[in-house]
Amino acid sequence: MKLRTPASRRALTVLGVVITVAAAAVVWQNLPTPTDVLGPFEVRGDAGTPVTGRGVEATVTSVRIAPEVNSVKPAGIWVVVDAALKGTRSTELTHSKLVVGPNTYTPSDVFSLDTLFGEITPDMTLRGSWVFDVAPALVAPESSDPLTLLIWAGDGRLDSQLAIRIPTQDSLFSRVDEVTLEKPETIAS
Amino acid sequence: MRAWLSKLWVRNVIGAVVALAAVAVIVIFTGLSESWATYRHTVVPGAVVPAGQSGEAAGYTWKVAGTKYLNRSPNSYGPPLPAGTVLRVVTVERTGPPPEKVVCNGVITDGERRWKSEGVGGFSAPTGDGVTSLCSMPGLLQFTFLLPQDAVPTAMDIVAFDGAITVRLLL
Repeated sequence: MKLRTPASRRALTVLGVVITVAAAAVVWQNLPTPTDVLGPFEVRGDAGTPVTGRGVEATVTSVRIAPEVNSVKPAGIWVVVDAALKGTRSTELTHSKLVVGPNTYTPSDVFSLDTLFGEITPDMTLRGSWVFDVAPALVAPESSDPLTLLIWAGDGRLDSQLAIRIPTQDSLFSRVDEVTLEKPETIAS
Repeated sequence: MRAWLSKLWVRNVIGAVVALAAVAVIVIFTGLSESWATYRHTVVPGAVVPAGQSGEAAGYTWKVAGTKYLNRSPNSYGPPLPAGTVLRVVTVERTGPPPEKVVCNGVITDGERRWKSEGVGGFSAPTGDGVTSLCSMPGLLQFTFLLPQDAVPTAMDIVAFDGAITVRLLL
């Protein structure tokens, strides 16, 4: 006895094709973008301890919130991140961003000569600061959301990216009236 | 024919041939081979010149003309050398007219770590007559490297703007 007639087999074939085409359309609509495909790999760590990626090792040594840096007032409030950077294997140009709540900030270029900028090299430590102009509400005293400093070398494609968590209740975190930046310093390490 | 095709080894061979053809199509038509070659040129030098000898690469003859260490900044301006560092200055002889509009850098290595030559505003040693730090200029090429005191470089690479290693000069 036949379980399926020719008509039911055809119906099953049509149904199979429709399901396959629909699944392909769903996948097509959800393909990863080039940003996703070539995006960096996060290396997570905490402020106060060295965090090492492929091209850079970084230690956040302190974070200061201040209404003035070098007597300059911001549009919002300054967040000064003090860090030590070390090259791992080759000379690299480093970049950073600060993630605060829903916002991501690039370093201010107001203090370019006094902030961390330029290349790092193997076994030499560059100490200095990045300064970010941040919306005051996001770093208000009652806010307990941690800040995250992102650091990467080169263009960041398919490379590691340090994501350093900075708790606002940490001893490394302070609120001060003013910050005077010290020029970046390099020492062999 | 059908009996022949039903043999397992025949089907395995056909499958392998089809798979190889698919890989060949991907490599040839997606630019994968070109990307791979570009990457390999950043890892494998065009030529390796033994210490004290000269060698051919990119249509030129290359030779290390001299090297020296400096324990303080060669410039009368700017900051002193960072603590625990020295400068290594490498001068390279290159025959023939220089290529036009070509940018290159020196990269010195100890086999594990790689340091790029100092740029404008860094600790570059001054260049005298007949000496330049630009690959597109005639004369001896001179590169200055800021290194940790304990670094023992074994070779210097001439590296093109795209990262390709034109030549490796053993020190």
